[in-house]
Amino acid sequence: MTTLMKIYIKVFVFSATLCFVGCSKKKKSKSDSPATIENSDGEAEATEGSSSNTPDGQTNTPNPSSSPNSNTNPNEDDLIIGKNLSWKRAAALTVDLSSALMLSPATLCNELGLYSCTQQVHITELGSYDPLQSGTFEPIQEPNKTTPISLERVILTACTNSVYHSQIIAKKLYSDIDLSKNTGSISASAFKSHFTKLYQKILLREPADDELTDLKELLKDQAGNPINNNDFAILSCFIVASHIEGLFY
Amino acid sequence: MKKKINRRNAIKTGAVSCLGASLASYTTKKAIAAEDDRRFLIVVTATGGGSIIDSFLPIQESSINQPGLSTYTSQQIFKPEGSEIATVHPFSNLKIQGLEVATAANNMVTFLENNYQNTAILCHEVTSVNHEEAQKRAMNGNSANRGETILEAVARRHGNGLLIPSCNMSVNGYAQPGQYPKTPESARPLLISNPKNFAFTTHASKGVLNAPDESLLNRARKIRGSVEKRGQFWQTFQNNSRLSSYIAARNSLTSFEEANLIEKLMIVKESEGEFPLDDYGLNPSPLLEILNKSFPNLMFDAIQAQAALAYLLLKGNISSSVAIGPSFNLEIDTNNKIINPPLSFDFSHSDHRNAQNFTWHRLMGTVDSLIALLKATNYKGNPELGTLWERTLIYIATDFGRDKILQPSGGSGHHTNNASVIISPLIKGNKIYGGIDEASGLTYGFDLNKGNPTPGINGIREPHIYSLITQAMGIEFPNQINMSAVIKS
Repeated sequence: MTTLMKIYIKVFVFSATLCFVGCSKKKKSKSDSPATIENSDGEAEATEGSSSNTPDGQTNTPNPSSSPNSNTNPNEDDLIIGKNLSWKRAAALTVDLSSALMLSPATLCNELGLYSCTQQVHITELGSYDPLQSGTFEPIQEPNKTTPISLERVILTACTNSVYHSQIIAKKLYSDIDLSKNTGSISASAFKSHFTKLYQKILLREPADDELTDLKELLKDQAGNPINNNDFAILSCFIVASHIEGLFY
Repeated sequence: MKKKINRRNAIKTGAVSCLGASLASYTTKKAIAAEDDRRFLIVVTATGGGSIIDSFLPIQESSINQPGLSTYTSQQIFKPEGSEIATVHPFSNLKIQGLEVATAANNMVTFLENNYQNTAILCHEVTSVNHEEAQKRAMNGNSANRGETILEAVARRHGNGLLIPSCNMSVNGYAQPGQYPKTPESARPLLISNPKNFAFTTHASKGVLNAPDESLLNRARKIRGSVEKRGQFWQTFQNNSRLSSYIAARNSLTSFEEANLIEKLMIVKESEGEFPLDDYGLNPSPLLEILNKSFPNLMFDAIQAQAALAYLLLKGNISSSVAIGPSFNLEIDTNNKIINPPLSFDFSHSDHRNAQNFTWHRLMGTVDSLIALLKATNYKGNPELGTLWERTLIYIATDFGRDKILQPSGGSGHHTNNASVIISPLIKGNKIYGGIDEASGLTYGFDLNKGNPTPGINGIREPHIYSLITQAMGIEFPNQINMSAVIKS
């Protein structure tokens, strides 16, 4: 092999290495930023990317966009688990929530008791639009700054309505809780049965044991005093119905 | 390994601490300076195409007598003493294609009398006669600044530390986000489709009957955060960008609640059967009385409601850039008379002169009231910082112009030739930059060095208007056109 050929090979290998490093860096910079979420102490925690551990000790799913095979085709990239996530907009939210809480869409949530939350007042924030009333012809593409507030408001109102609106609904949905009592007195079995029912109706699955452990915190207030049963019923409904698992799919 | 405490280390530590303190002080001063330097932009959209020759550049009937040219008699034209700019009186017995309209006050006349010194007419040509595209270009200067809209550019420069740096209450192309990928998420305008409802979207529990108190709700939110992290869903999607930004917004929602925007921005008044706020433990904005005086029709006139909310957003130091404007929808008042013609300014296709006359008067009346409020309000309530108006620029954005020669039916099509209206104490006002050829009705431009008219040539396009506004707002970007001829030094 001549010296010239050796130089050519070295240059080729060097260029290929540079290209590979460059592509990897570019790919990495495209990956989504990790979410932060409040822990039970109210502090925001940041996940550290693909190798971080979850509180239950499991290793997180690796970030799909940093996988070397993920850049072969953009459509393929979208199909990778964890990448493609849809947002439950106003119409779907109304149907799912009213079905789960046994309220008609008309009684689910009305501002000042008069104006539909999901079809009028919060329609933009919930990802829908209203060509006839406000002249908007397109929904917002992504949840905006006030979308979480609107979602929580709609869900809180719906949950409150499910407790106070009809005794029949309340008896069916909250049969494990004595809503006539002011102070918290819920047995362990009633607690589990209550959340199992809510999870089944709203998230279409059963709660895990570690989730139930966290949810026990709801039985008492910040000072450690038991909260009244009505508030417990409303807030337990609020937690499950505003769980990200029920709002994205 | 622990560091030894000796004289040398003590001096080093002291020096670093001093440097840190100085830096902190410098940063704080810079932040305060940035805040005191804050400016505000209000974009008012003449949706559908506001024609300049039917508003601020009217052509007087003359011996040229071009058939079909939209001209006005000397009695119809008004020019305040000292003003270089003229306008048109409202038509008497005005109807739009035979339909009754709400009483048109002499709004353009009042507006011009009060504001001609701060008003500039910038004659230009636009590059699209498609509504959606032309509206986008009016907002992004035809991608003058890498696709960033004028609202976003101002929010990026002046919105630091504000709760909602930018709000957009306009529609269609005017409401589209910019295309510059580096625009921070915080500078993207929040779309508001109904200003009367907006306050309700700023608090999750206030006004919800029988809701648990806020401390319990906050506790439930924290518990939910822990529970969510237990599930497989979180483990799978935690790096998803849509979920990340949703959770980021959710984590900061209490700042909206603590600011009590649900009451500060509540522009509807207590009324039994319609807005029973009291029954729900809510109060209207403490400024509602003032707002009702300035915008007496805000309960049914969308532009007045938008202007009222825009004022509250600026006064409350909540936003730095806001867009308002009519939609394409028909609006009627309580007497079933037209407030906004169907398609707004674009009703000119059917009835050009009446639609232009009525819609301009409606729009500029609201602008006049808004300016009066801004003039009467000190920035942050501090007289030493001057009034809000001293820091504000109002841009009347329009899709495009209209045909100068009207169709025999009285309708007009779309035309690239037109002008933009800018009102601000930050610019050299009481001036028409460019001019109009009275024979054709076409505007011509001006030279960028001195602002002198260039008859027969109109080289002014969307990027010039964008550059002018950004320059007046203290914003710089690559390839910005120097518009110093129009801006006060």
